[in-house]
Amino acid sequence: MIRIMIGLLLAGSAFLGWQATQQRETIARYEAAVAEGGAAEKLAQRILRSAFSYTQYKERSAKEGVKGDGADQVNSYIFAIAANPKVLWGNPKIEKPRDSSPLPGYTDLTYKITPAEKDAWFDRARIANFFYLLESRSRKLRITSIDLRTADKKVKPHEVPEDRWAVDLSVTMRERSK
Amino acid sequence: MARSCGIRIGPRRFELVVLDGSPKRHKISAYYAGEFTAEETTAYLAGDVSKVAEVLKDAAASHRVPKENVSLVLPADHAAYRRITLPFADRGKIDQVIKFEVENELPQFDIDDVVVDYHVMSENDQGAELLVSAVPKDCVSRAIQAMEKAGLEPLEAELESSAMVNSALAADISHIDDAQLLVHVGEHSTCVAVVAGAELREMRVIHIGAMSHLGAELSAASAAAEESGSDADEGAAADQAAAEETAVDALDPIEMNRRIDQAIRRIRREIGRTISAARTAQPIDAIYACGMELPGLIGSTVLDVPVYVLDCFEEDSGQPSEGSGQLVAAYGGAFRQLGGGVMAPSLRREELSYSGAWERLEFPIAFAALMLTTFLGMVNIVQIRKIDALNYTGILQYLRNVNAFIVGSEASRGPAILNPVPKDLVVRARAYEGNVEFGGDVQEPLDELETIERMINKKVLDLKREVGDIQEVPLPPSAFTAMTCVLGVLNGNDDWRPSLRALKADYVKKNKDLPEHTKIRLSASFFADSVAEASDDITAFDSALREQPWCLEVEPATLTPTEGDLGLNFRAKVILVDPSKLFSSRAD
Repeated sequence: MIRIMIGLLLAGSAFLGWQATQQRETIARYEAAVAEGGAAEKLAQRILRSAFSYTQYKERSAKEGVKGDGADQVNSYIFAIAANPKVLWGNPKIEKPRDSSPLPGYTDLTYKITPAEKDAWFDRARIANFFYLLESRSRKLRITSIDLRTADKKVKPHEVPEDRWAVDLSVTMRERSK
Repeated sequence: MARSCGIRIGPRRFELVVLDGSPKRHKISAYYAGEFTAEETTAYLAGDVSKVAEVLKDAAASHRVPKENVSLVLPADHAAYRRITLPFADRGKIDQVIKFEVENELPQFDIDDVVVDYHVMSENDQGAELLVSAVPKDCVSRAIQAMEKAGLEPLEAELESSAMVNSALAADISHIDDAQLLVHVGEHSTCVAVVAGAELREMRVIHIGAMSHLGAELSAASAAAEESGSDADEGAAADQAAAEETAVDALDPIEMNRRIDQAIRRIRREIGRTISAARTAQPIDAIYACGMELPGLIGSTVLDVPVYVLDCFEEDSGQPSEGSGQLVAAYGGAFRQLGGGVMAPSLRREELSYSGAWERLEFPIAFAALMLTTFLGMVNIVQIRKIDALNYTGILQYLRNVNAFIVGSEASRGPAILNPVPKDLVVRARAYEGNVEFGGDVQEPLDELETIERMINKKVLDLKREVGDIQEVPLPPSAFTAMTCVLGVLNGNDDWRPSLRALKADYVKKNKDLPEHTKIRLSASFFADSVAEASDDITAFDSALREQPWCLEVEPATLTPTEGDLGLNFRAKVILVDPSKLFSSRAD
């Protein structure tokens, strides 16, 4: 009987001793946390900074036309801009992106955009609106290539062409190389 | 109240006595005298203690014998006593040399096969006089084994003689100016002790007991049963026992009585011898007998010394009204376990398997374990309170303030930093307002702060993936900006009459001389009144371009007069533009 009691008491003591050790570590952790400059203060500061970042990114996200980095998102964005009443480009053709690394550590994804119809032409206002909206509504895209020419190929150098232009362009999204 | 138990195990009988109290004041709370059957005795003597153990176990259970503090009392059937004198009295030295010193006195034993114990009769500076007892180890270990199998671990073992002496001296029958003879009658032996001046003077064993008259028949029957050769051990023991019982039953009653008388006369003669040979300052004035009853002994005289029953029990202390003499040895063992007794025999001193130390340490260890558990329990309680205090009065305030800032709260009524406020964070923040019980989904505040940080960081990371980590990613130069810059210069002078034909703008990656830039190939016509004027205009255009901070280079192009010499035309004029300089120049 006494031996059983000794066994139970020693087992209980071992458990309580282990518990006490865990609790000591917790107390030390909590005391360090609430001390000046401790973990709680630093955590609180980091959380507040992250909260500010969150809000800033949320604002930026609201303004960013291209959400995400997939080709579908870029295509959707370009179609939406092309459909703008001040642009009216119809459904332009968007080729599959080509990737290149002109800058070490970064990858450029370049999308070539051409009008749906081969002989399509646009006036300068619509071209300018298209270019402007593409760049202003997304901070990720840049127009990196433009090929602008008069739609009328027969116009002579001494003649003044009409405001009809054929245009091809490329937009590029740069990101850090993975 | 302390409890102790003394159990005397003889070859045919056993007695047990349970005492409650202290050496000075105690009562007999239980007693029992039992017998073993012939079969049980035969098996026991042959080494099979299981049957005897069963009997002891039943007796112990029915009399609520305590399992701790038990003393074993053995018959002196095979014991021998000797007196020796040593030149030193140190107990440690005596323990070391006792066997060697007494070996020559015990020629009938192999000294390695006996347990040797001693009692210090007298001691002074010159040495000590010892009464040495020797008992075969077989006898001791067999009895201990039977006890252990019965669930009664004996803390100590002694002979009937020392138990009797302890009982008698406790009963205050011996005084400073008188001497007595103590007699314990066993089944096959009788112990005799001379006590004078309340001290032990001599001790001897007479190898005749109350059942010695049956010895011849029992031996013959045992031999016959062995010769008949049964196969199974149990069968052999049963046959032997049956043979013994038959032999005893076959004895003529007259012969039986003759033998009993003979045994009694021999015992009386030996007692007389002891009285004659006793070297005491006082004459022996009484004989006290206990153990089995011998007809005609109590109330008689031996050499004119009266024989009385050794009544060592206090009045109304629970002893039986009759037959209490047979309990004296068991009583002596129990009395010694309570802490009383003059003699302190120890027949278990040599047992290798018996440490004694553990039993002595059991209770202190249990007490220490209890104290340790209690202490650790209190430490746990104190530390839990401390953790609660740190949580509730310390870190919880940080958490509540952080929540108030980031998601807003009814208390703060201020705008939240997070905009829009994620619902999951609002739900989490609500759990920590008001009275909080930590546990389950409600984490401790420090863990909750870490969880909130992880959640917000994850949301920020998702947003970064959504909008691009553009702050640190240098975007390529905009061809649109470069085109606008060049066309702006082209259209910047009212005196010029340019007409755009084509413009091609392409990205050029950084090289050793130039940063990333846009290469523009411009095709246009400059109308004028003359070719010279047109040339001046084009030159001025080039100069105007070169003046721009964003213009890296302007290459001259081949000029072709238009039809009628009213202007000049050029194709693919190369202009290198760094649009990033446009914003830096504007900032300046």
